[in-house]
Amino acid sequence: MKISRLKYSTLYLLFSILLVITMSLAIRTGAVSITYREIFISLAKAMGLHPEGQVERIQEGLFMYIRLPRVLLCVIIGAGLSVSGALMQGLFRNPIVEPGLIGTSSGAAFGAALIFVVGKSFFAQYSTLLGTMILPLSAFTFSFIATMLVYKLSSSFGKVTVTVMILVGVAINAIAASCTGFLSYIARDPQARSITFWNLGTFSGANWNSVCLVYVVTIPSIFFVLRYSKALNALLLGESEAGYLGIDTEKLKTKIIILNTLIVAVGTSAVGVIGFVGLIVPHLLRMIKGSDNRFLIIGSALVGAIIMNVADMVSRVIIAPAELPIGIVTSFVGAPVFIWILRRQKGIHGKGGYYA
Amino acid sequence: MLEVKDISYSIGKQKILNNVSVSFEPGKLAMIIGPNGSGKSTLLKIISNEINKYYGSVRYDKILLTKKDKRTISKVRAVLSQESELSFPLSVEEVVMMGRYPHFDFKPAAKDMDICKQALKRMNMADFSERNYLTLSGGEKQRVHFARVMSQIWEQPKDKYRYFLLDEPIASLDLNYQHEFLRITKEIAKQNTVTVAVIHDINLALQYADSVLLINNGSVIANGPPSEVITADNLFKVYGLKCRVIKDPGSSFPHFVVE
Repeated sequence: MKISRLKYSTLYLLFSILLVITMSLAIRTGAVSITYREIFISLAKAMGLHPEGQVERIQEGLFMYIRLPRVLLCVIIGAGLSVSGALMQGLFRNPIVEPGLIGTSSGAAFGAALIFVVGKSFFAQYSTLLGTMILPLSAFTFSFIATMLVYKLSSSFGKVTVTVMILVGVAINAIAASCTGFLSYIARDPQARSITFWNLGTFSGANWNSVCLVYVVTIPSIFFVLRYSKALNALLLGESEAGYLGIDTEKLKTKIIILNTLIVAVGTSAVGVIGFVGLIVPHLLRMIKGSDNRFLIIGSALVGAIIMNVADMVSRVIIAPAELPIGIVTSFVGAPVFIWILRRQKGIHGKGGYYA
Repeated sequence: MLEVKDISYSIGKQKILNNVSVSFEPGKLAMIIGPNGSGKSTLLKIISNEINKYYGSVRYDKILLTKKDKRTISKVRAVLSQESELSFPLSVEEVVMMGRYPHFDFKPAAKDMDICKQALKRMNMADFSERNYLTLSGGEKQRVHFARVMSQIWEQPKDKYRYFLLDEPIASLDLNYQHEFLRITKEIAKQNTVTVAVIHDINLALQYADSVLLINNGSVIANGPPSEVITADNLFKVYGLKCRVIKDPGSSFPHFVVE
């Protein structure tokens, strides 16, 4: 049976089952492994029940305060980045766009680095609540500026030419990277180290605070963008055609860019820059079952979560007991896949480039 | 009723349209002809609200276009362009369903699906509904889009007219489908629809149009029944070509040949 013949609901169910399997595998895997029995007992304890059997305190602590938040963070960041990739690809009407290519991630990284280096002394007098919010806020502001700059600079007369967009993206990324580089140059050693880790991405700092913050922002945003899936579909026809179908394209673009930046910036502020997941997941889905944006958004959320968990497992075990930053894993696997996509695309659209 | 009054439009110092006034009536197929760069496509873009910074006024049912809500007007007005830039894999069915987007919020109703089916059938594309749009030929793609815009204004609204605008819709089609498109367009026009098409082929205008608007350098040269507008004099004035009218006893309309 061909996978493309399956109904949307069947596919969602399939993805969800796969996600639960990968999540439980991810919780068990690591330098110290945890058994299913220990997981159940710890979970039951956390819910206030008094289960039979005993768990080592170390195992319970490892599960509740390290593995579980880490896996949950993987789920939401993978979902967020992939949904963001689907949104950007729909908005630019091009299947090779992802947040890393158009400034969103590098802008967020710069915003985060800024807080790392100058923020502590600057905002020290404010309360701790503001202290936890200031990092995502700064990441959001700069990633929004960078994304808008790329979009505005690469569009002329309502058309975004992809070659121009990628070149502008390279330039904006370079500016953001050089600013981040300057910050790490003037930074003291521990600050510089955290910037470096930031740019490679890692889930090792996952805790319940970051989990809560990212879920509170990402889940509503994903539900919100689902409302625009129809309009995004119409946008695939071109901006004027979407206008004839009654869609206010200018408003739509602004809303999508804001929501997308929100998702990416909050995610990036929690785990750093993780490339290529947002590019590849929507593309895989498009190969499975077409480009309906409703399917792409829901599917990306599920499959992105699966892939991020797998990548994180790899990053944990490949040089165990040490840990590889996950950005290295995703880029190392993702970049060749990206090249493969480009080559494949060339076959389909031999004549000229894309227009958006 | 679609009324265009005193439209002037320029890009920089270049005047594209100069005081164009014309009205289009429901039930008739109106065609706009003129040389390249004469402003005919620009006029259509102003009528369809894609260009919205111009002097003058466009009124649908006596109401200013600028006062109309985009979504409301898209329920009764469809625009077919020369070519679409769709470059993502979507099924033919999904593309046609986009025509129904103004009519539902989240999920298409049974009625919407039925209309899409009928529109595809009308374009002889019923067997294509599951096909990937990207694998179609240029002509087949254009037929899919025709089905899409047809499904957009499939139903006759109460006490309102429908509007159907076409911008050089038949350039990528073979002879058979050029005529099929225009026959269907004329059918739609007859069902109380204000229909305006920009077209290049003068003989097709003579055969199908109920009225013809001839534009050159942004100004109206002539407007009226095809036999009065498309004359050897006018064509020489506009295209600089010497033409001759041929009356074939077998057909009810004249033909033009270039000498």
